Amino acid sequence: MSGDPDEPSEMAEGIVGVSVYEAPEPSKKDFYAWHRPRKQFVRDRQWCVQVLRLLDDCAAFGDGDGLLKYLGLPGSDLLDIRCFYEEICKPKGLGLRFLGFNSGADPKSEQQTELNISLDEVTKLDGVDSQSQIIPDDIRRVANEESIAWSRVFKLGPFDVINLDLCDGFGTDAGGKFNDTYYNAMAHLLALQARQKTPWLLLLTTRVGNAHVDTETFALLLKRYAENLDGCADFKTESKQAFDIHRCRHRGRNSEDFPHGRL
Amino acid sequence: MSAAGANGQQPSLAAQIRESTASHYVETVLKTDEQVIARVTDGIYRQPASALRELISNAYDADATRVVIKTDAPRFERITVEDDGRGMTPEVLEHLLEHIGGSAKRNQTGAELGITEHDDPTRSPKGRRLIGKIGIGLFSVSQLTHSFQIVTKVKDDPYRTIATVALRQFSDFKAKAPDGRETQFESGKVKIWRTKASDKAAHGTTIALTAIRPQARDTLRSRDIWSAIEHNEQVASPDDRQTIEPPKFHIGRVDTSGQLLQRTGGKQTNLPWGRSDKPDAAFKKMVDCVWEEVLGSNPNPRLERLFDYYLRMVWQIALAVPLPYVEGHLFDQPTSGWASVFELSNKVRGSTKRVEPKPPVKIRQALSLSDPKDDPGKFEIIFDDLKLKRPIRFRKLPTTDHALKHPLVFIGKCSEKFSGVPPALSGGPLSFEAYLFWSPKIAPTEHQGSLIRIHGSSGTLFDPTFMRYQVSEQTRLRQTTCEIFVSEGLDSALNIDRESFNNAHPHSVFITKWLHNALTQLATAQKRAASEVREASRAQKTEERIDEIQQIAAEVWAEEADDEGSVPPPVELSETGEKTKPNADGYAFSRSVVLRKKPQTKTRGSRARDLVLEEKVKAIAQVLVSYELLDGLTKRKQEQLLNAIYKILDASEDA
Repeated sequence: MSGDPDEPSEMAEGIVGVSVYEAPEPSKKDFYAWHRPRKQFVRDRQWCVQVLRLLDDCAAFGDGDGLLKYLGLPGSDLLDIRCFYEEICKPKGLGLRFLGFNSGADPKSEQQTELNISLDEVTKLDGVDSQSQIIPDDIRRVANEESIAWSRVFKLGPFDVINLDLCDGFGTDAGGKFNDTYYNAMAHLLALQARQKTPWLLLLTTRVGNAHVDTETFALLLKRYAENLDGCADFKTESKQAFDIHRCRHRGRNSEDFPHGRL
Repeated sequence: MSAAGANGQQPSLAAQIRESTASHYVETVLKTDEQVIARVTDGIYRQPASALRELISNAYDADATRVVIKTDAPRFERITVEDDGRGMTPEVLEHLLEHIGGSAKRNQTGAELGITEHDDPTRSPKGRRLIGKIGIGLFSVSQLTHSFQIVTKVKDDPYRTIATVALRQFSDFKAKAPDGRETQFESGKVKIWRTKASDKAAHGTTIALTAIRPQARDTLRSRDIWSAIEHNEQVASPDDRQTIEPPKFHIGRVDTSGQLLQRTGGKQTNLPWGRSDKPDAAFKKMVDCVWEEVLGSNPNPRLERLFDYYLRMVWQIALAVPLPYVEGHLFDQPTSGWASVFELSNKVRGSTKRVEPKPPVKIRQALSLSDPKDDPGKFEIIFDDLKLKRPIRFRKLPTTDHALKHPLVFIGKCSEKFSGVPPALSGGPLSFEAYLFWSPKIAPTEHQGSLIRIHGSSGTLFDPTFMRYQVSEQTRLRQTTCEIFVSEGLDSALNIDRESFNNAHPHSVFITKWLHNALTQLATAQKRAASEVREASRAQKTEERIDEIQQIAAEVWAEEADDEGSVPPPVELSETGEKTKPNADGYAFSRSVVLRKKPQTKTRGSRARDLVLEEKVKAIAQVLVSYELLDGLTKRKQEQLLNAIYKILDASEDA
């Protein structure tokens, strides 16, 4: 008839959604990498400066509704978003609509109370659009068109600023090998951004070094780069100006020719 | 009363009863048991929508101007309700947590805590009539979630107050204190702390639902319909599959991982609005899509079939809370040009009075209507992609084959003091305004019925029985929608879930009687209007047929006379058989001779037919004159000939 009475029956499974009868505690105020002073320097001097330049360079941006549309990966304290609001939106008189990816939005996350407080503060700021949202998904989910992550990005995008401030390396996984890689997510984001009629900004922060870049993928990049240097004079000039790279040290086309990932 | 006990304390009621006699009776008041409250806190609502409606009501009572509800639809693991209301001081929070069910609203404690107007505990500090009441509004979320978080701040407080709450399941077992004694009924556990706020001026409350119950999540995800569809999709043989239609509009469905969306008919979602629509335009499209169904292939759209649970929930919330209408209040429509407006009588067996149509005058002005009685000021609700408004439209509605092509609007207002009955029995005075709106088509079908609002808020939605109206008027009732706006009274007749009425309450009884009386008046007026339209249309048709007959006679005459400018001589049927007007060409015959036939009961239809017959005879006489076939006969013979023709026409018509 029935099994062990101490074991939950199949029928009872999933009726109660929690296993502990306890009110959630305040989130621990840990010190994370993004709290370092040098990170604030990056926020002010790199990100905000670039966004301000974008706004100054373009007579019009976005779809003209006075909203800066931002996609990012903020921490539970939403420091990045607060920074953009204070440094850009407020002085420029712009509204802000953000879509953030943060696992703290998962109800099971210990960071949830912290995120809820931050969201309460940020959404009360004048001009923060009601459609702004933080979702708990991994940004790499965007690579999958059937994912909820992608449906949110598609709904709120295209964006004026995409800020992928990654804790890990962008290129650790090989593109195309697995569905949910940064490469594939980026390909999807770029396809969406192609709808944007005005210039937009991509900020990408990643760990670099051989351990953080898939060798084959990197070789493929170098190959394309070398082909562009050879085939396009304008590219060569721009490359020289921007990176001081105007020729390939190695003329090879195989990954073995770039053992150290250098041109 | 009996004397106090030996220890100075009041003896128990039972002890007092034992001592009582007819001359020394016990007098006491009825008390409630806190177990009742614990039970209520545990969940009295049937639907997740009710919990959200209660949170919105709380925000309204807290003088919020804007409420933003965010869900992670269609996943439904996270729902937040943010408002810019007054926020809660630690004292208000303390009262809320320690006096569940003992709301500070509507009593002096409210004023002391600063949550109600200083000298009127039924109003918010900014003068709104309170729509929340029982102090369990916040705990209504127990229907939705095992735990929630409150983040609240009052203006100029340099701190935010945060509370996390884990709700306890109500159980027949009482919680035991460490010493083994049974404790009072515990509804949940709370952790509270304060955190420094840099935005001193900010104010408002955010409620985040942090552990949505699996069952509520399934409801929100419309699991019932999607499971049936999935099950059906897995049936191998197409012959064995049942016909299960997915809702036409839906927010999509998640797979078992909760990460991916599953496609239905090749689409992840099917929403009535577009990706780039602003929240107000998106909501308007949602309302319009229901009416578009009527014009399309679905004459009786039901929200239940058309929408998934989420969209239905949004619709119901939009109907329930104090918001403006999607295309304006009925009272703000003009008195002419689109509908006939009638004033309802408050007398038993009274009848309606037509409101004189004056183009620029609005119904509100013509009948001195005031709803919403106290302007609540700005109050808007953003629910994910949508800005909610009352999803009720009155203008430019589709018509049917019904003779009446425009709506009939019936307006009533009533103020009843229940004079001569103590308020303790009558429930005090009752005031309301109302409309009954008749149109050949009312969509969605869920709006066929009566909806009662108290200070703009309704938990009951449309009652399709019109408060148990027993008269068999099925067709007309399906063409009627009604809203009753109560500005005083009835509140105490609401049951504790605020989703039904205590039918025995004098205010419920009165409104029921009033509504039934109004429906009788509507039926009479609608029948009269329809019959007037039908008569007018018949007269129009008769006229057209007479024109046609006269045209034939005229053409024959002109052709025979070979003179296009000439008209046939007039033929007159008079009582005397003589011409009543001097006319050289004209003919006159005796009406009684020419139109002699068996007496018949006259109806409107036969009167119109007689008119046409008479014109036919006259036209035939003209045709006979055209061919010079009449003048050769004596007048008596002429009249006999015409009478014979008349009888033949009459007989052939009867066949």
